[in-house]
Amino acid sequence: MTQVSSRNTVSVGRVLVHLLPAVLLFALFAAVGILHVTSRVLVVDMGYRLSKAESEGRSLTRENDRLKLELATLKAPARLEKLAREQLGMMMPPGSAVMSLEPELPGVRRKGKGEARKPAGLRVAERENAR
Amino acid sequence: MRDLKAARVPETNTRWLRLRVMLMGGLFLGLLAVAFGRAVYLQVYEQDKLRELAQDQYVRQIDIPARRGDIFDRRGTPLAQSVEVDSIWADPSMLQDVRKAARALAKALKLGAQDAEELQARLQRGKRFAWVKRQAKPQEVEAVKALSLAGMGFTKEPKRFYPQRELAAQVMGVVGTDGRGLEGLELAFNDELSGQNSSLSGFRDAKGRKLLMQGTLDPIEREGASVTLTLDRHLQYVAEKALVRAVEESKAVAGTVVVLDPKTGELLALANAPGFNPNTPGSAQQEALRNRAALDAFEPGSTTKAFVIAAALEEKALKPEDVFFCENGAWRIGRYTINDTHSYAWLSAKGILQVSSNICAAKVGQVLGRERLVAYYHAFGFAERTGLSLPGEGKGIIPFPKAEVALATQSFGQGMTATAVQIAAGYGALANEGVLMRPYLVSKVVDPDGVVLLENRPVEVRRVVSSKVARQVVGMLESVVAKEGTAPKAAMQEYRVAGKTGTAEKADPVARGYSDKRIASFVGVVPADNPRAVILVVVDEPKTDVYGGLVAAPAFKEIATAAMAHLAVPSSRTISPEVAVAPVAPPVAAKAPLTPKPTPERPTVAVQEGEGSGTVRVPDVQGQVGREAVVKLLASALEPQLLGSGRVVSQTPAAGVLVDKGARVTLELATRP
Repeated sequence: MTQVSSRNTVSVGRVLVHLLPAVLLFALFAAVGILHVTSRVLVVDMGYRLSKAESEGRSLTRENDRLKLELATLKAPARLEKLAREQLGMMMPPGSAVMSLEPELPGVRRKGKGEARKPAGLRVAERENAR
Repeated sequence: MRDLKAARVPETNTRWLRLRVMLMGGLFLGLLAVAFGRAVYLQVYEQDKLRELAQDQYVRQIDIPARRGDIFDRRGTPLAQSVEVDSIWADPSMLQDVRKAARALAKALKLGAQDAEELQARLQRGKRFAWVKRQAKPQEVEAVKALSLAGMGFTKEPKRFYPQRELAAQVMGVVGTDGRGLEGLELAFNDELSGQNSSLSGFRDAKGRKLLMQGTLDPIEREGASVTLTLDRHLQYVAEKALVRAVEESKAVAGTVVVLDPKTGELLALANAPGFNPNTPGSAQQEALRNRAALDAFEPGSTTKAFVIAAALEEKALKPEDVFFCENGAWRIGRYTINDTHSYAWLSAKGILQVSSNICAAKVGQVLGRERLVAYYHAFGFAERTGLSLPGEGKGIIPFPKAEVALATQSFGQGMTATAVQIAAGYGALANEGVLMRPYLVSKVVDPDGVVLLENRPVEVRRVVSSKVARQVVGMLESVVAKEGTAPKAAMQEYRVAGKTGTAEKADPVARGYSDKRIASFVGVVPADNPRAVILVVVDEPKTDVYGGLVAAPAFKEIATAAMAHLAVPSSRTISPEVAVAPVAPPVAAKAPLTPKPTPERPTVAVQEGEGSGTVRVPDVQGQVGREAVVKLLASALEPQLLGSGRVVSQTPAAGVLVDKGARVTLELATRP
């Protein structure tokens, strides 16, 4: 009996050992399969999100374009002039009303020392007084 | 087991069995090989074709229309933009009652009777697809959605908008419903502006949702190039306004304004009247779509006299002090009589231009000779296309004047044709010290990814006359706007103006002669001492008055005034400071120059040639309007620097401080809260 049982246990172990590669292989295949399916699901999901984001991007671009157009329309000179004339009582300046000054060129320092003569703090005080 | 043992016994049987096994094995192997071969064939050789077939069944191409590029003015203000708007379509097979649906749609879209009929016909004709309204307004889309009809669809289509409306409409041109340029720059740069239509491949699932599998394209890739023009929106606006007024006041049929920078050849404005709104090009008359300024050649009239005089001076055929006999107003050449509007006896070159004598101009032409006259006209850029990159640009004709009378008439601008841009460019050459610059309208075409497809820079075409002659002629032209000249209405207070009027007779194509219709024009150069702009105003068939000095010159002045202010051109005449140079004894304030509290009420002090001659006292400009403050500082030989706008809230250095002449005074300005 003992002989039989020991032979039996040995045989079960042996069977298991024999089956192990098959089990591992199966597990491997299953894992790969699950991974593949998961990745496919993720890709599809990503595809949906992508198309959603793309259409959202397009609608935002469209909205942006529309707003830019509206801004340009509102700033059209004909409209501005009408508003300035009718609501604000303004007019086109006659030639004498426009004074042109030398352009301010960056990096070109003039000889004028006027600014240097004053301490900076005074300007602030002056401004406060003026208000 | 026993069977097997039994079967093993006969030797022949075993051999037969082995053969059978091998045969079967071979058969199966063969079949396997065939299957494998087939698989290889399908997977390797037929792969592309089969994939296409499969994709046809489940992959959808999602078309993405390209976004048409924008058109900007020189300062980046958009003149033409594209926006995607809804287009409404219908699937007629899903409509229960086409006629009823058509009626409901027509009502929702507020269509006229004829349009409604057309809509119904479209719906009845189409099986699965029919446009209801392309590029509909948002309200119309809402109205159609409110009908909740089955089988309605909405797609996005790009539509061209012109936010500045009529501004430079003829230059821009027109775009058709399908997004193709039909006129003007839209046509000339259609390829660059259109961009690439692209499509994405993706799946469409059972619910009709989009499923992208490849990632999206960079939106930059499907955008058209943007075109930047040399036009200045403000000048264009001012020019159009002045032109429309001139055309209306003189009851003329049309008009043109060209504003050109003589030093670079850039076209700052190109205005045409009558105008149209390019947002609704269908309502415009075909005539209004024409960009006359660049396309139409006409007989320019007396404005060309300046070129004849310049040529004669350059060729030394004429000296500035030479005088010509003007035949007292009528001169017979063969069968023809040439007339002046007033009779003159003897005129110098300057006088010829000032009073615009046809007879004397003809005599100058005779002195110059046929060949040289034509050669100089060509040198000034006439009879050749300026290359504005506008389709159908006019060229003008300078026929060789065989007859004596043709030589005479061509000397005062009849019997030849030119476009407005050519005339302006010719005057640009005179204003630019005799060097003709190529006029251009498009400064840049840039791809959205920053690649410059086209860039125009100032190009010298040729030196036409010496700078001395050019300056002489411009000097002579200054007399035209004097009181005795033909265009005193063009004179400006702050700037020296050199100009020339033109009143050309229009040829009558039917009667083969000249009609009583006129083209009145004025071309001016401002400021004459350092030209910054050449402005040409042409008014076609004015009815009230026909003379350029009366019809076109006021418009010129209006445009020039705005242009000089806009281009920040310093006044030709030094500002005569009424407030200036009154050496007053230093007042109380001067004794405490560092007073920190200058009161705005204190009487303002102009210039105080104080202690040293090289120093001045800073005047008090607190609380004053920017302009007054600037005038006062300039009068004190100080250099104002402005920050902000409005009234002066602070000045550095403070009032009363002694500074060197020419020192900079910084003014901070603010509008009142």
